[in-house]
Amino acid sequence: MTNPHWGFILAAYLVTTLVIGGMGLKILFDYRGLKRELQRMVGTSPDRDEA
Amino acid sequence: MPNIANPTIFLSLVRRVLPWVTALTVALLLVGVYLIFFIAPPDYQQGESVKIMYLHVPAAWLSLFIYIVMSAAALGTLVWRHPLADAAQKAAAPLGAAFTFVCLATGSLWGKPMWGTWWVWDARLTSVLVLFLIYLALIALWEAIEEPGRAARAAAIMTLVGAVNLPIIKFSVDWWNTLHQPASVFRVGGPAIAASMLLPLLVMALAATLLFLTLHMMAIRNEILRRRLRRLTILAAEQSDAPAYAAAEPAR
Amino acid sequence: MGGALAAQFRRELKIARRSGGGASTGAVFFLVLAAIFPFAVGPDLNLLARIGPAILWIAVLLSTLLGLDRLFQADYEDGSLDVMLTGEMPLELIVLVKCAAHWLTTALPLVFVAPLFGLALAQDGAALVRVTLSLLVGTPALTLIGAIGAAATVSLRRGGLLIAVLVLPLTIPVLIFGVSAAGAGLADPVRFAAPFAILCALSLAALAGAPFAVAAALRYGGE
Repeated sequence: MTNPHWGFILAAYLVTTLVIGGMGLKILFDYRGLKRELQRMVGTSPDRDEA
Repeated sequence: MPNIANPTIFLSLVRRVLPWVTALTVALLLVGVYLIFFIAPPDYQQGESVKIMYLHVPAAWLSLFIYIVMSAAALGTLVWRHPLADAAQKAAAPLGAAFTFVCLATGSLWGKPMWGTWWVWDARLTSVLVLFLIYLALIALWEAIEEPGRAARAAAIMTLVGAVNLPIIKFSVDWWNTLHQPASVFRVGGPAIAASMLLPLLVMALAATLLFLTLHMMAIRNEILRRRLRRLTILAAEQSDAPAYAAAEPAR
Repeated sequence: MGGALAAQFRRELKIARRSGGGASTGAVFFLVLAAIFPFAVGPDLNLLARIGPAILWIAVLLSTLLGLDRLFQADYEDGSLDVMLTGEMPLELIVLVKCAAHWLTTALPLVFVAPLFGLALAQDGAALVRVTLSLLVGTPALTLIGAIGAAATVSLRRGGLLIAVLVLPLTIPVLIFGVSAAGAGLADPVRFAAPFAILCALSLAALAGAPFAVAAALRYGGE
């Protein structure tokens, strides 16, 4: 782009992607870890609709 | 012993709904980005930098929306003692902080080329900064109290007190800002919006809202699982089942 | 009821005076804070005169906040809190009495010391009066709002910094109008009355609302 401000635009989209994407990944990894721990303790998947 | 029936129903609901919401979010984001980079015109005054607006404005909208959601969940905790409300509260705080941070950062990156400064202590920016600090404070509170129910109730009260205070803060910062007039006057609001810009903006706003809902659902699910894990860990320890206790993670 | 409240009040005062460390340490902290500003900012009296009210207000704010974990800590630890929770006297009234005693022993001394230090910050007579009045009227709001944070974190051992983090954003309006009333050196100073009136309103609102929030936090925090 010939636009002189493309650096700022790029930085803005980058920051947004990193922060929100980072949050999403953190939530995802957290989920996997929790599922693993629960399976270890209970022996079945915690997502099943069991009492 | 809290009633866990609803959280279980919630988990199965999430399992069914999440793929669709995620797909819809991604679709809307793609449409939005396409509109921004291939359809939306550069601004008459600001040129291409206005493209940052499509991030900044939805983020600002969400930073407030998330606080409202968190406050509603706080009411749920205090009035109905609903463990799902506890989870919804706790899950919302980091998301609120994240979107508020994005709002501030994109605002700075928009402000520097446009108005020549990374930051200015005008009423709107300052209020958003205070909102960011309130989110961070709530996160600190959630981290500090170990027992989930007690943490939820303490956070609920602070959240609601904060909610009452937000308009007061906004008003007082307005007052403060009109006292200390800056040397130059910035038009932080930006230009009046044209239709060709309005559509991408609305699409991005909708996409961002769905994105929050997606992440929020996932985070609530995590909190429910975390609470279960904690309960099971404590039970295992109480049963003085030495191998299980030794193998268990510390209660979160 | 009146007799019981008065007794509670006297008890709080006695405890505050006896523990000593809290109230007087807070006053010393205030002085230290106010003193290091000139070191950081430079001895230029004009500059200090301009930002003097702000320095005093920030020092009072921080001293008050950091002393707040003492409000409920001892009661929580020795079981008195449970007695208050299950007793006949309305918890909100007990909270009010405790906050009043805390304000008298912790914040009020600062209000009197502040103008003395204001002289060191090149404040003139009128400014000193304004600062003192603004602190007098604004510090109850600080104590009451701070009590909410103290109550929410009562179960934590070293909650002082967390209380400050929780409460500071909420006290920004008090700070803004407090400094404004104290006459923060503007080119043309705002009249005293308007910000002072709003400051009074903030303290009154805190007086009306905070005890309920504090009581709720104490009740929910204990279970």
